[in-house]
Amino acid sequence: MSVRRERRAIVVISLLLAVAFLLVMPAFPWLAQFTPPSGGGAPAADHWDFSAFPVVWNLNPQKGSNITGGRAVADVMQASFNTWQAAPNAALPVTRGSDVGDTSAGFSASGNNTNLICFVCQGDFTRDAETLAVTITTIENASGGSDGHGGRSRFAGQIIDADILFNPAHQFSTGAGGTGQDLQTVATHEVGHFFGLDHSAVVRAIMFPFAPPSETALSYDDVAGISQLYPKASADVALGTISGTVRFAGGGGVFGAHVFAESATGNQPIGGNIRKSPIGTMSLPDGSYQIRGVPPDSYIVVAEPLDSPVGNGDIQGYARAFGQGSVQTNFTTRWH
Amino acid sequence: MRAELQVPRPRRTRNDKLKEFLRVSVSLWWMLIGSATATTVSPIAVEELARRADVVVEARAVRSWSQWDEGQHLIYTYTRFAVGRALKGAAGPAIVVRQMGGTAGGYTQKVAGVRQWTPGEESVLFLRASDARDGSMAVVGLMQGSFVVVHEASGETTVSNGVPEVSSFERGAVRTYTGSRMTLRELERRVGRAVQP
Repeated sequence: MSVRRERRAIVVISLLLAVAFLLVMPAFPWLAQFTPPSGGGAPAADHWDFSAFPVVWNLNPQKGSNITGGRAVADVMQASFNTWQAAPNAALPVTRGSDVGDTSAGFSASGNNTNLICFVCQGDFTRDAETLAVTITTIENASGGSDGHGGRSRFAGQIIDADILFNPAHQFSTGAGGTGQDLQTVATHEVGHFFGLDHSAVVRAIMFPFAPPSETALSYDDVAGISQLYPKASADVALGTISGTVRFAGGGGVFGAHVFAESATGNQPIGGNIRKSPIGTMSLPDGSYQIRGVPPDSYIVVAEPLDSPVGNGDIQGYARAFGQGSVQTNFTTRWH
Repeated sequence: MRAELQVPRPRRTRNDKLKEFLRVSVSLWWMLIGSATATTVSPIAVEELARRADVVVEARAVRSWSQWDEGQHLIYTYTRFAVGRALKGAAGPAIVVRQMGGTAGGYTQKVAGVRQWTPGEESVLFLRASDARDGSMAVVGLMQGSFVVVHEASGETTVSNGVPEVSSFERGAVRTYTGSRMTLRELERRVGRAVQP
């Protein structure tokens, strides 16, 4: 934990325990990135509208000697998308499009856009090998603008383009015989950004900002985030919500507290290749929170300041989306 | 079911136990960490940041603006800083830093992990010329070369680039990275030592 002067505030947590199984509610999962509408109003969680235009990803198959290993990069990328598309309760109708030769990322309002996957693209970020990859998403600030696919945008926060660029200065391994960082581990994380997920403060999540050398399976936290952004019409697994408010002893709400539900049992309510993990969220400006996507189980709910290892800087867009300079961290960890 | 719980301050022993649990859990995890997928970065030590930078400055953000690039494909945010002190290289009284992402013309582009500055925010910046070749600078290591300055209530001034202390597991060995949060004085000392001829 960081060294800081702690306000010896007593955090009051009021809990509304999970009862809303199978209930799909308007989403404010903190895992999403948010965009405040240009005309004002509540921030919208960024996400694609799969009914607006077909969403495909296009691979530039060129690669340098920095990528080694027995698998083709196309197979690695497909496996990374498959991981998310297999998530319980989520509907992600995204397909691989034709390969392209593009080496420039970005968006054009006049059209002809691709969601580029590139291993040879250059930019400021490629000057340091320690920057492994970046994902650039383009989002509409309001409805009615060109969506770059011949139509008009439908809502503020609509993702209309996403490009994933791997740094050609970094050494990646695609599998057997390769050397360097496991490509699929990085790709799986970046594909989470492709779908609009921000970083998670849950250590075992794929969307945690710091990854182990090899980890390609989603966690409960990742499933909660993706299934709230893109809910399947008929749920595979019954999931509920834990909600409540984080307050200082004086009564004021705590903005940006990291609140997570940790299972108190050894149960595995979500089967398959999903790793059990806490499920987190961030409190809103009034201190209220909703942890969505919670499978039936017994939980300890913890509210902690977001001061380390994940901090305000990792999710800076969250505070900005709510008109705040940063999340509040002047309180001590509490749990129930 | 709705359960309103007002919780008294937890007993010290219970709080200690939880903190110890969290500390141990996180520490064990850090032992396995190889690289960071932010937008995905591996930690760069302060000394290495200093060596790679053309200039290292203590500066205060004055204002930011975003605009499309010439090709109208990418949005960049420019921030003008008032330079207080140069720790490496020669810098004028003002410097402009370019970052990926921003809001312009009805669109927003986001790059996860890229932090933007707010006017008045103080930073220590490790910079090199940006690819734009327009006089603007880029932060070394995407955002790792941007240390936010915090004036603590204790009177101490600390800095952090948001990359936590981690023990990374690389090439079969645990390598401890010491960067991130430190006092401004320590950062100045480390930069000074790193750039000595």
